[in-house]
Amino acid sequence: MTLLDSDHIGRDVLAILRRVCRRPVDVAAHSALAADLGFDSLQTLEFVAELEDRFGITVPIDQVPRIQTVGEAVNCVRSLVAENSHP
Amino acid sequence: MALLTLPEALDAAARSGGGFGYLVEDGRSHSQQSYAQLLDEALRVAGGLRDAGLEPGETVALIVPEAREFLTAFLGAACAGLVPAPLYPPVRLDQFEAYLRQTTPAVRVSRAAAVVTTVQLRRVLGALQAEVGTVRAVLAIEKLPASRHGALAPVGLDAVALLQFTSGSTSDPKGVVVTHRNLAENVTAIAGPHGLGLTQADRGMSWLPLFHDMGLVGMALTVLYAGCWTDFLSPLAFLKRPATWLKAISRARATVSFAPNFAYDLCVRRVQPREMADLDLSCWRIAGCGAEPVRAETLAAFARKFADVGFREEAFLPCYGMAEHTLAVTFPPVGRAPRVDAIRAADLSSARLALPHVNGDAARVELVSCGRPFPGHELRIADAKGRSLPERHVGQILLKGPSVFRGYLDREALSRETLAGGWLHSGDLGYLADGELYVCGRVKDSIIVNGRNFYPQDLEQAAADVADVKKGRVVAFGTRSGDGRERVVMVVEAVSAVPSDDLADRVRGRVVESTGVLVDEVVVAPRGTISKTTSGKLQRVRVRQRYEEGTLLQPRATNGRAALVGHAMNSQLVYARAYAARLLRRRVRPGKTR
Repeated sequence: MTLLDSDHIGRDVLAILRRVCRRPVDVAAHSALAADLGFDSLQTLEFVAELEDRFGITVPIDQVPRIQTVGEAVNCVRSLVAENSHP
Repeated sequence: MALLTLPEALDAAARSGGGFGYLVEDGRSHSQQSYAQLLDEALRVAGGLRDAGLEPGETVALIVPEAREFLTAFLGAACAGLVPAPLYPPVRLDQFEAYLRQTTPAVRVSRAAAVVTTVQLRRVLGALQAEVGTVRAVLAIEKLPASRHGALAPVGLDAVALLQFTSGSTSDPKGVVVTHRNLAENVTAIAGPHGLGLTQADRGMSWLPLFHDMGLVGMALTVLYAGCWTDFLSPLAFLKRPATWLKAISRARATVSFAPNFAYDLCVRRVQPREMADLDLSCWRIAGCGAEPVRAETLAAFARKFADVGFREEAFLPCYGMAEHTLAVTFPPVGRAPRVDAIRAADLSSARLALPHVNGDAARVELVSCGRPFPGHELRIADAKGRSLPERHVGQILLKGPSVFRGYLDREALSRETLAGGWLHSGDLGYLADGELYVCGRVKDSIIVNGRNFYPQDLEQAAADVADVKKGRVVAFGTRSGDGRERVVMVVEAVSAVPSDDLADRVRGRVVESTGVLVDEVVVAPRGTISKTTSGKLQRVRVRQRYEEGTLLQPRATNGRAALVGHAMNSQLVYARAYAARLLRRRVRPGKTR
């Protein structure tokens, strides 16, 4: 069990990531969006918007630059989803 | 109409009833600042800057991320008779060293007497004071002394109004010197009857960065001079969710909004049907498109997609401009659907002729008219020797008139060359047809991605840091693909005879990390592919030519591997080879084109 396949959040984040990436990639939790997956800033923001739609969350704009790796994206989604369910 | 300096224009606007609105991320109104309030706040800033010891005529570098603080600081500096030099703010606080490394050269070139920033950034930007000799203080806009000096500093029309740093690489920045007269002439032309024909009934909407000429001069200062309202939305909010821009236009009943071509593309690709449910874009009178090549296909797709929610194709205003011309150069008539010229691709590349395409011809290229120059301004197309060319001949676009900048700060030789013979040499290639301008390439080797100019040197430098990339054997260039889109290509040689498979990926990663540019294709070429020359420019031209002809990887070397990786699937490569050679700006040998 790893960060990426322990629950549906990890798996869904991964699926969205692959879709936004538009090319086959090897992804690990520590993969950096820019350096390892070749995301530019537009793709990173598209990825974030897709996460918002899928999980019904809002990632504040000033938090976006903190999402640098796949693991950080998963953790960000987890904490926002948790906030939503325990207001 | 009398020409006004920036402080005079703000003073006049304060009586107009217009102002600026600042929207939060979801596009709903956040705060409003009438021009009367803005004048008040700007005068307070001006007094504070004077009390801090700054003298009229000195330059201040502005590093202010938020629109409201930025515009207040910018106009405050102008009211104090200072010269503001807007610079890109950092996106992330944890990559500060890289940011400082990239920003210091521009601060140095500007000879800024102070850096004006925010409380939050001041701590980290303090280093600039130690780094750049001219900088006497790093000031936080929120902490300026409360001043009693409330008067506008007298400035003449021929004084410098602002320094724009949108040209030049980050390592070798060029400060475009714009006077109050340049600014007044250009914004008056933009807003006037031969331009947008703005009235107080118009309302602007912009997500463009204010550190860029189209965002600052086009969307903020033009409406200020015209006394209308404009709302600002953060660039990141738009990029994250493009529908936010359209929703904001719809909600505010905005009439004027400009964006680069890629923004319209992004809306076509990413706005979801459910996000369009409550849109009404029938208010949108002028949908300006500039700052990068305008693609007919993008405009058509956008018009198709948003026709049902009231968008009219006639609202499109494809235009041409550059910081060296303050901003705008040509506009088509307002209210006319984009005029598209379909020309024969083969003649364009072989003879630099733009001849109409007729059925039965081979490949065609579609270009969008950017219209005509403003009254009192001149435009001509010239060959390499500066001789004027007739219609439908491709040459460099040369410009003359009151919007032409004074020169690059402290770069006399370059300024003389750029302004040789009294004409601004744009570095762009184009042709005229029925008196209207079609832009079709560049003389210079800069790369335009998503409306921003990037310099190959910056990309090459980033790639050279990657282990196993051979120093001095890295070339970056932009090339037009068959659909008119700019593709960024890098060709590198490896130190080792058999480079590892992920070398191209590592280059892409390093480049996007350091410059933000996504390289479309990295070619790991056999050793000896890139000839060592003294001029990076010549090297780029040669490699690009061979790439576009499809001869780059033809076996000259016997060892090593030619790996084409990254985005480039095989089919794309074939496509790129076949079309790129035919397209634009490169003279291709007969028989090689098809």
